Amino acid sequence: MIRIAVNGISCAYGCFPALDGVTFEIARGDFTGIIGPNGSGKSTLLRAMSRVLKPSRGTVLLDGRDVYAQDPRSVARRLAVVENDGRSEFGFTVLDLALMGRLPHLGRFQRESAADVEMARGCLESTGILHLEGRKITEISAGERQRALIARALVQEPEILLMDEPTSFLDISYQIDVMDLVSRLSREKGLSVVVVLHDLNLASQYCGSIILMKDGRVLASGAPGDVLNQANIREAYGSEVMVVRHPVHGRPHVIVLPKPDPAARPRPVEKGRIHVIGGGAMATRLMGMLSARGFSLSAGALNVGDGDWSEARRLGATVVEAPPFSPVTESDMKRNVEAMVGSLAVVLANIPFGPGNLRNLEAAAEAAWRGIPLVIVEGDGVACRDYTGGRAAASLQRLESAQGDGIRVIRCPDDEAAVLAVENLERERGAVVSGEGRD
Amino acid sequence: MKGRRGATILILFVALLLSVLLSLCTGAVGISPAEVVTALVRGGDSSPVAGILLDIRLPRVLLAAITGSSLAVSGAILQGVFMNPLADPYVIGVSSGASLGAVLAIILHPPVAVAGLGALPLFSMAGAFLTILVVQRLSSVEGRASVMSLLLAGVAASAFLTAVISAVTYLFGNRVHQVWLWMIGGFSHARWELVMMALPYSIAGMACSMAFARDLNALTLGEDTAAHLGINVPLARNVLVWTAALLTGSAVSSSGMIGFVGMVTPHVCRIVSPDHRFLIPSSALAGAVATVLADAVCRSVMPPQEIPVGIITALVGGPFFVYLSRRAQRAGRSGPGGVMG
Repeated sequence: MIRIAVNGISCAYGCFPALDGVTFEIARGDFTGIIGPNGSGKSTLLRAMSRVLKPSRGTVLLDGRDVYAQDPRSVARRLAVVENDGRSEFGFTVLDLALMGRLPHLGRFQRESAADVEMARGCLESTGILHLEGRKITEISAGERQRALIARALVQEPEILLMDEPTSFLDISYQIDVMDLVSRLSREKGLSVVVVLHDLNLASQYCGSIILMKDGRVLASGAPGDVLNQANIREAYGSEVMVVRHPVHGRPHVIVLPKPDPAARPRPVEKGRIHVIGGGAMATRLMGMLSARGFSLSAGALNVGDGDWSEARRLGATVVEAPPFSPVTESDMKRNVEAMVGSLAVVLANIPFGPGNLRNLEAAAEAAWRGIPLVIVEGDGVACRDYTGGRAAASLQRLESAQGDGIRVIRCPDDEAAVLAVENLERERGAVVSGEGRD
Repeated sequence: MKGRRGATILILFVALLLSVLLSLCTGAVGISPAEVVTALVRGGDSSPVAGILLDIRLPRVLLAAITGSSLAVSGAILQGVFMNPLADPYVIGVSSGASLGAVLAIILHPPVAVAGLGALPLFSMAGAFLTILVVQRLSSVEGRASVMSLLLAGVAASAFLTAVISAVTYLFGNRVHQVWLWMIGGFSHARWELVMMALPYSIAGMACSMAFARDLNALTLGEDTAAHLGINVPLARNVLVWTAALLTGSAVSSSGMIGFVGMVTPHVCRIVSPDHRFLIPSSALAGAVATVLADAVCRSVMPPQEIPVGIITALVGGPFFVYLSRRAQRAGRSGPGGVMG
């Protein structure tokens, strides 16, 4: 059953357009998130839907009739709004505020009944602030006020709940409490929820569908898995992200990557190339650090779609690719060795080794035999992450016992030490190069 | 909570009775409370004491009470509508508009009378209404007025109107004295006709504001929130602002400019509860008490001379107001509910 139909609405503040042809529908029991960068029109959309800002074009239908043609009291009996900012100069008590939710249900001169008061207290209890009922709203914290606003909206006994950033002042525990509460009401009582959220992962976790807005238009909408992807988020926010599956609920989980530091971008001296052996997003940080220090990168072999694969490509590295979710083949290994030759060093990140990627280690060994220094990030020790029955550790051992004679293996406790070791190698190379120049 | 509100109303009501009694006793001729009660109960016999009491002091005290409560209710309404606990009829220019109307009535002396009403209150109320119209028009963009722009427009209108009053008074120098007498404000000219003239406006204004008290509660949370709670915001806002203009216009026309009552009394009553179903009656009572007492003081400081009542209210209200607003600022800075909260 369609409760709200937004049909091609456009709104403007003065001559500044805030919404441009937005269309979607909300059915009974829907839990819909609205996301998008600041100024993309999310709050304006809520105002247009809640009978406050009449669109200049298009219509908002509530239960099939234009919401602006309906009596405000009758609208308020079906649709409640949790505003983002509940600040007031007037010291109403928390209970007073919650009771205002009864306004659309009471006649002009009708007093709140004992049942109304009980109901308001029940809503305060479900939002966890019943103990504050006698406190003034001017004297409680922003998070407590936010929960009082949610209680007031629930006192309206709405069938549709619009919320504008309801969790912005709440700590993570209350964020989950509030979202769980409305999510339960949505499931059990068919409450339709439309919530503006900045937290993409909260949206992904709770919303059945997500509307992504940009510049007053709907950029994408649908299930979280369809909307929350790299391309959409880059287009909407201009941010680089990684999208992984959440280990618990399996929905998309967005990890925001640091913006490249503009101060670190200009590379006065072209440093050597470092080949990184990573996988499973374990080398993401290391590659970022190397890139920030002006090294050029190559990496591999990496499965297409792997976290390190996307990070390496973002940093402009040459990547030796393997198909998604498949073991590294003989030919991948050959290409990998070719990529390693000519690099300043090969860095073996703190990654586990199994049969699937053992060939990467063998490639590193091959390169080391050919004189490319191998830097190993120890972490908890290679033995702890060897799932090849000791073959990986043995291969490294063999390499180390042959040190000298052009073979170098440098063991480092962590990423930072590995970067320092690479910087040392770069200095050595520089000394050789300038020494050669003098001859 | 409800008990505290009821008790406050009761206390204020008793305080009003006591201050009326006290005010009836004070003046150039001292009258004992017993004599007052006797005269009030028996009605107009021909004794000189009863004459002073019933023909001079009683209408004066009643006019003071009506004026005080009108100003206080007007202040309570405007503070709520403009979401600013420091707003009042002066700040948004309504008082100045009413004054200009009254001054024009005094100077032009037009032979106008509608339904038994003299030119002064009619002009005064017209001035208040016109000012509100202009201020609302000036401050709204596409039908909506932000609080800040309304207050700014009010201050500008107030300055402009004050200049016009000065110019008019200057041009018609022959009537300066009358204008001056009226502007000082006070109740020395109070007669029963004036009481009967002000009373209907006062009753109508209070009834209207009580009917919209709950709308006013919602409006203090912001217009969007009020609309979300099912309030017809344009209607409620218009009714309330026009009610405030009516109350201010009638108070100014009958008693001149009396400051601070409208600003301070709702502020004090809000300490008990900001719920307008309580705030409007309690402000009405408190405003009446304050004005009746101020009038009693101005009659008794150096009899038989009188001090203008506006001076007393400003002398007491001014510092009190500064104290209140500084306290609010301190609370706002340190309390969790303040601007930083």
